[in-house]
Amino acid sequence: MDACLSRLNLARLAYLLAVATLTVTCGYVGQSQASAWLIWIAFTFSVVTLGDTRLQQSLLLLALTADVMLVVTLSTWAISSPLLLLVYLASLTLICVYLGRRIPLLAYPAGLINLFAVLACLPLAGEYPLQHEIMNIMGGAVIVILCQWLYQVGNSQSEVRSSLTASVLILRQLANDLFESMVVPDYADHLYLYERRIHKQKNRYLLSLERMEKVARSWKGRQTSKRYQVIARLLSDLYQLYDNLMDCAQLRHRVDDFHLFSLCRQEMQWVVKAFDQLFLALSKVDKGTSLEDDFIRVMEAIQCFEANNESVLQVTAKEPMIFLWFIASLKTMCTNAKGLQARMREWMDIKESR
Amino acid sequence: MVSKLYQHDALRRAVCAALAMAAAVMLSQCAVFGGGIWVMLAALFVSQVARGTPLRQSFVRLMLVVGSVLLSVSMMRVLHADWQIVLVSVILYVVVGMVIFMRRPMEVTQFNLAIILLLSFLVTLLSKNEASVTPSQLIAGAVAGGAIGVIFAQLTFPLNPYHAFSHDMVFILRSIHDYGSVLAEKLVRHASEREVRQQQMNLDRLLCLREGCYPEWVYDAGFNPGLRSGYRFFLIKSGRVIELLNSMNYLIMGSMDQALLSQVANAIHDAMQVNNELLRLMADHFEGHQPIEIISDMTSDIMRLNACLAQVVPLKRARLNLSGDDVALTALVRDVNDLREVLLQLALA
Repeated sequence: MDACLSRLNLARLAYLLAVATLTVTCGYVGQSQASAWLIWIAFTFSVVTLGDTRLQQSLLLLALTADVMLVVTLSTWAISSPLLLLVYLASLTLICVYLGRRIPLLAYPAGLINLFAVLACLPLAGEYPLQHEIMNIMGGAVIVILCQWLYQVGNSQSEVRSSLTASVLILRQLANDLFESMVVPDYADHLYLYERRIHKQKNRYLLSLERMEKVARSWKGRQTSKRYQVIARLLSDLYQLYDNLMDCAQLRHRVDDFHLFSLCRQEMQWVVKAFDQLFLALSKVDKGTSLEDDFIRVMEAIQCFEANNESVLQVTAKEPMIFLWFIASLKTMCTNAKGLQARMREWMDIKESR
Repeated sequence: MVSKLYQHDALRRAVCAALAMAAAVMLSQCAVFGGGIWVMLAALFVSQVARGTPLRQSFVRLMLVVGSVLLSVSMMRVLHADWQIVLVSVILYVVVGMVIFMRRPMEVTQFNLAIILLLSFLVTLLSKNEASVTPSQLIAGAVAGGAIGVIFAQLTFPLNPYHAFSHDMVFILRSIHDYGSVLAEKLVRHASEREVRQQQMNLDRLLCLREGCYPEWVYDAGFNPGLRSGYRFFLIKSGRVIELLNSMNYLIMGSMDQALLSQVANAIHDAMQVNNELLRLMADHFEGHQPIEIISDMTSDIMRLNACLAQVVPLKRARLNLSGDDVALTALVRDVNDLREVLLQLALA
């Protein structure tokens, strides 16, 4: 998985360098006075992928290019009269900001349209013909479309693997943050600090799942595709693991007296460490690697906690049931993690058979 | 007209940005700003801030824009050949691009700041040949535009924190309500797993910063200290409500014995109906700014549920001999109890 991640990053770097090289070369060969436009367009269009499929990406980029050409033309005309320019730019800003706020997917394209309309008002912009700007805008867009087709940016299988790895690593961090709140003695004093950290990790996790789903949606013939079905099941497993973790995390709210955690701090730390290693191993899982040792370590840590629960916590806790729920939930989490591992292997098998 | 603006947040912010742009265009006519491109650009970048802490957010953007322009101007003094400028632009583009790609999923605020940084450098560096503008005019333009952005973000149609918070919470509470309702229906087999997952995903999308609904700004440094603790309390408790619903979802969807679950399903369903009623009341309160009037009985259904559970799972007799299904069922009922407690705390807050 690590190697795959590096390969993906190399592919991303190659894509960015390809865009940069093509843009600079075209600007140099064209010897155009308006070559800054080529760079602005290529560099700003290429850092995002609009749409799900490659065709959608290209069509949306073409539509955006047409809009930019239109507003640049209008700006060049409006610059002759300050009053006209004021009315034009204020109206355009109103429309772009409104659309961007109403439809989050349009926020970036609408922002770019607004920006390029303002940039077209650069002083002395009229010294070269408008056609030069238009040609450069089109050139920049063509370069980006070409590179996105070539490098399959945003919809390759590597992107799914990258999202999957990222999701498991974020889940690991989320589990660490949640368990840490039960181990640290100052949780109650800095409640907002810890809870905000947990909230941010939850958001990152959910965003990563959403991203994975988006990439999977971009595949052709997805209804019948086996790899899409496996990804759908993987997503379901990841959601289930998340819900499972939320069930475990209820313990931090249910224990009134935080000193109670000092009676099981060591066992809790073993559990935290064991799950941390398990999730880390899961993020690196490959066809040949065995996670059996990691699962055994987790079960041992849970059994230690269970032993402590039976001899100490059940006697001292005001509400002993909450620890029983916690232990049951930990055990299920281990089982769910095994299920996730099996599903990840299934996904790899499909990849290899292709 | 003005009250409509306050109701439609997107329109309010669009009008605010348009007014800032109009002011920037007027100011850009002054010779001191050398054509004033940076007055307009800085006003555009700085005026578009999210709800909650506009002053802090606009100052962060102002510093970023002015800092980038200053740095670009300094670089232009050193870099004389065109190829050097292009090389610097390419390096900057590749670095920012890689950060954006590698940090996916990226929060929208961070993405915006990265793009503003990239654009500020690219525009300053590459427009060098386009205009006979002196560096001091560029910097003066960026500062003036940024100041316009700050002023308009802060003063035009300001939204008081309570309204901003209410605006966000209405959507979140309604979505939690829908999620809770479909979970309750799942218990009595009137909803499918797919519907539950769909509602959960809808709520998750709302919470993720990409949609911009969650009032994350309550945690920002600089937010009104008098209001901070109350708003944060509400957010933490709302987060707990969502956690409890996710926990219930996990228990209901799990491998619990359905025959055992069916013995308390109706009692849980009734209690969840009351919980959902509380959520609806709170959402209505934030929407209409009217006090919450709790007219239903908020305890008898929970007592009935606990009595029903005691019949099915006699806890006191053998706590350590409970089966896995018994433990899961008691955990589920506890979730419903906790949910009621948290919702009542929120309603009273």
